[in-house]
Amino acid sequence: MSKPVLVIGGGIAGIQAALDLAEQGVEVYLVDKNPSIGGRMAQLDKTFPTLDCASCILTPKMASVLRYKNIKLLMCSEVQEVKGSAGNFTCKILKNPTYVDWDKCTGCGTCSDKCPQKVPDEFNLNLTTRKAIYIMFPQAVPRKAVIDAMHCLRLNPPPDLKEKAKGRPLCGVCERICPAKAIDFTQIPKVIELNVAAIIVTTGIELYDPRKIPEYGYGKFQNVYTQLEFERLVSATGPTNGHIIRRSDNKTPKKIAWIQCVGSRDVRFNHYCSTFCCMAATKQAILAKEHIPDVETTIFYMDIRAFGKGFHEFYKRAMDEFGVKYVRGKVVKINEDPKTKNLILTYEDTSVSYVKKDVFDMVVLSVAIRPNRVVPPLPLELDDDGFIKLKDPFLDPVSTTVDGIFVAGVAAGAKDIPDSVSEASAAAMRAALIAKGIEVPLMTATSFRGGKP
Amino acid sequence: MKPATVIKRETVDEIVKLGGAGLFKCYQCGSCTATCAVAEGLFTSFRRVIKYAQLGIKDKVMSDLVPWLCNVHGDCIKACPRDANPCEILAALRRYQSINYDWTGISAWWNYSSLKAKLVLSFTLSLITMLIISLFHGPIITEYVALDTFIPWQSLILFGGSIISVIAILLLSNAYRMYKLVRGNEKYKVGFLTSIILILRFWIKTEIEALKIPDKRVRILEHLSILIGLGLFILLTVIAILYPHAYNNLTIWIIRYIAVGALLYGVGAPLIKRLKRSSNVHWYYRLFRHSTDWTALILVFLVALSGGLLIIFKDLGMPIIAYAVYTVHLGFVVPFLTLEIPFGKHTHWLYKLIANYVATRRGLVRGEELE
Repeated sequence: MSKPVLVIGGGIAGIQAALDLAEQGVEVYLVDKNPSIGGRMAQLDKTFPTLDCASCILTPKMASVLRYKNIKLLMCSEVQEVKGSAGNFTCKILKNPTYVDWDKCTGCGTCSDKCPQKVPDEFNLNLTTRKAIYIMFPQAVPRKAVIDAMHCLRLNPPPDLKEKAKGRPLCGVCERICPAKAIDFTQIPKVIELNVAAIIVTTGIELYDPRKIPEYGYGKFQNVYTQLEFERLVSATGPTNGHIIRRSDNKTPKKIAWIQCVGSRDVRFNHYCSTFCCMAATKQAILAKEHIPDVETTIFYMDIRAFGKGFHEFYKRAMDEFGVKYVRGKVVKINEDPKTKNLILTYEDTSVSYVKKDVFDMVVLSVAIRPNRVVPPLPLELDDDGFIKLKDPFLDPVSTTVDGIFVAGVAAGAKDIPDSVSEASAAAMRAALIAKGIEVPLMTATSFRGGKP
Repeated sequence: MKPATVIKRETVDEIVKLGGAGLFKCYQCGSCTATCAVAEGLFTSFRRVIKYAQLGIKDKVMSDLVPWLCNVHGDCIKACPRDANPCEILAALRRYQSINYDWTGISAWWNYSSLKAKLVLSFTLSLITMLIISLFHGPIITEYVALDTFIPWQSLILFGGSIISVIAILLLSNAYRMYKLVRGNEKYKVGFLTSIILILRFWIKTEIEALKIPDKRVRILEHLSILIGLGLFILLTVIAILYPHAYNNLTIWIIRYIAVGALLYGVGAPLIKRLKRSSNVHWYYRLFRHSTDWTALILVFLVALSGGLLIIFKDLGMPIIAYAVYTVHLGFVVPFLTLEIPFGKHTHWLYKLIANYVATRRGLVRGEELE
């Protein structure tokens, strides 16, 4: 009989780890702070270097997570405390209320159609709005509705409306309309205590705030986007149904620029390389070409880091087949033309060695990544950049400094999807050994030929 | 045929030794050039010479003009994502180039030796000069200040003139060597007169732009006052030699004090800021850390201070002190003239002039505004 394993974070790494563990008959608790699993990959349109549709690879995996009886999903939950040691961890998990009884909810979406409160949509990086009661995204797993208590008229009414109502409960449209009668405004936060054998941390990343780099004017100039925003823009499920249009005037851009190493490889911000941005920008430039055939795409780079299998071919293909322009030089300043809202980029074209200025309709910033906060509650050590410190980066790249806690994916350092997935499988393997009570290293005499190690 | 490009590891080591410590931090992004107000008006790059230096391509490093086109505005220091301090690398390249322009080899010693060694040599020269003056000076008149009698004009012109002639020969020969080196075989694209107008317009425009920014303004004003002070002193010396009696003229008297004031401010303010080394004088802490920068300031400061005291004591009518200060003043003037001017940092005006001229005639200065 094996003990359960806790997987923190329901991104692609967490999903893979949970599936691999479940396959081996280990019970898994998969915790995610969002109402759906999927993580960052769910926000992507296509993957490099094969240009596969990200959702098409991800959603089958997400669906199987739901179907495995060994995997218990703890959505809208956060780990509060971890105590104990390998083989016997006691974890306190805070389960935030969703205000919807998920046993009853069918995910029909009637509630979010009728909800009067519009809220910026974090999943679409605030490019569009959602309702206060919402299903995170169309392919969400589990496909259940959640109420955003912060913006719900009933749960957090604005003071002026509250006065008018004189104690009577406000709104409640969803409660009336729900065909399954699943809405439950009385839910409160719950703390669950779990006893697990091992923990896999797949907490992932957030984007570095490009507002901290004032030269690029992100947030000030409307047509400056981050890579993830652009990804939502080209995505068919995104805010514009896959049409690339400018924030300022809804026009299709004719010239798009990507700026690499925004906040990464820069001692003023983060000195590490975020590894995937070169390929992601190349992919996005190709996608832009596919969406708008006559668009001019330029990528401003210092070094193209096309190190993975098929990456360099992908980069060559972008240049030769799609005509993506690569300019070597760091853009130092973006200025906005106040009339047309076009963006003027200043840079040194290092191939001719002098300063140039060029006008673009849209600029996409390849922003650095930052690890999500894991310490506290986890008793882990971090390296200088805030990523989780590894026990041995060469021969034991999934073990943290604490025995029984493993790490996979970008929480341990910047990497792409294939690397995250293979790390997740490795971490799952290691966690399964502990969960099944097999001692590591396996040095029992019976394991060796002749009975001797 | 052109000789093959020489790549030497020693070149790199020498540049690093001359203050280009950030050389290998650079990853060639071009931020320094793109953010530079000077580079915006040029068809050349400040980044490229750093690449040549990284690779140790000696002839390319030697013949590149851009180290002398830099006006040390310091925008690149803030823009550099690698904290490589491009301004300081360019300053190191200036030193490297000027060592190679100089045929005597004294410049090499001056740039590689420590601050202590330089100061010891300078003060030894000062002491020798003072000793010679105290042994061979003219009659001391105690009734009034008579510097002419203390050291007769004839001997001053004889010694000063010969020192200045030697310096002039050194400077001109080095300038010629530089010109030969940077001139290359490239054809000039811009006519002589057009180039003069182009470069003047370009520099006046960039410096006026720079004056609008407070921290640049302070530095430009300090540098300008050194220039004004030195210029006025040269003018005063010429007047004094041509019309010795004009020395008592009121206008001349005022100009003399203005010159001393300008020099003391221009040299003293940066010297004090540099000695403080606090974080709010970031600029001086990050740049000009090389020993030649210190001697350049210290020698000018001592000359200006002793000169200032001399005219004060002369005007106050205190003969004995005035004679003593005069001796000390000349003592400081000698190492300044014989070491600092031909071999130290104070050659930069000459090399800068040549570099600007060649660059403009090659068509490297953009005529119109960058769109």
